Amino acid sequence: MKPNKTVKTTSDIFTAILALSTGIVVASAAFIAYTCFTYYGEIFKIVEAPRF
Amino acid sequence: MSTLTKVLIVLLSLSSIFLSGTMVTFVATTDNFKELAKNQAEDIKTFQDETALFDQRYQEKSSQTDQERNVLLATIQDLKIQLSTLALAKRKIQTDKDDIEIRYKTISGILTGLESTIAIAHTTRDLIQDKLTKALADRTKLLAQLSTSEANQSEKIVYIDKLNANVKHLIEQKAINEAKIAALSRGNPITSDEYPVTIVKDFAVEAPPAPTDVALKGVVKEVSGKDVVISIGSADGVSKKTVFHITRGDLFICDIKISSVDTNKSAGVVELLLQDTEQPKIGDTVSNEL
Repeated sequence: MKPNKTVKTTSDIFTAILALSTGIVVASAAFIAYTCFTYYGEIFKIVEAPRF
Repeated sequence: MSTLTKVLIVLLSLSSIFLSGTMVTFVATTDNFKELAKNQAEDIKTFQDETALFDQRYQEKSSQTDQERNVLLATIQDLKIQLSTLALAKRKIQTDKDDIEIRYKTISGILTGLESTIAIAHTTRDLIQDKLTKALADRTKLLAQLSTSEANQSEKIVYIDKLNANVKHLIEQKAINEAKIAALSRGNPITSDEYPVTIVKDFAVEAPPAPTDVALKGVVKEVSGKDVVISIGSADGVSKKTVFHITRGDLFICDIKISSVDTNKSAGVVELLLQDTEQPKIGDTVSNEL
């Protein structure tokens, strides 16, 4: 039987950097999505130019 | 955590932050193309409407311009016709003007000739006037001479009549004497006392001259230039070089100096003419005393 090994939570500066980076990416994605929806009414679809 | 993991975490974090910032910056600064396209579509539609309106206006203006052009062409045609008519009229007027100038020059020449002729006529008239004045003076002198000759002739006729009467008287006296001689020769006494019928008249005796201090008064009978004939003559006491005053009412006209005297009229020359505007005329009073 293996000795009981204590699992320690990694909570250091790198975790904070990852969390910050993730938050920035998420906020950027949300801002871009909001802007696209506001401009074109769509998020993932390419809007076609109006026909005259 | 290995070192590689840490490096990867840092690089991943940095790259994700960089890309996120780039994307956010791009999205934030880019334009709303849908809105732009919509605006451009509206602008294009507006331009198309304006183009159609302009086309319509162009057509209207073009048709109006065509109509005005036709009207102007007709007007130009009329003006050309009027221009040709005016050119003909101008040519005619020019011809008339030339004719009038020729006539003017001709008439000017005629007038110049007439002026010369009139000047010559004036000169001739003055000469004739002088000759007429001289002729009137000569006529007055001849009339005076004629009157004198008539008076002399009358005297001679009277003298001849007297001589004839005397001859007749002598013949009658001779006949009576012969009758008396015949009667005496027969021894008859002379009983009748006969006388010649014809009576011999004496010669007329010239009347003594009228006294010169008597006031003489007459009228003007004739006026010719500066020669004046008055109604009194030598029978009234007028003599040569007598000065008479011609008056008209209370107005003194001039003096005349007698140059020729007839029995019943005299002629003189005007002197001392005070007023040029008042000339002696027939009917004015003539007197040697004022």
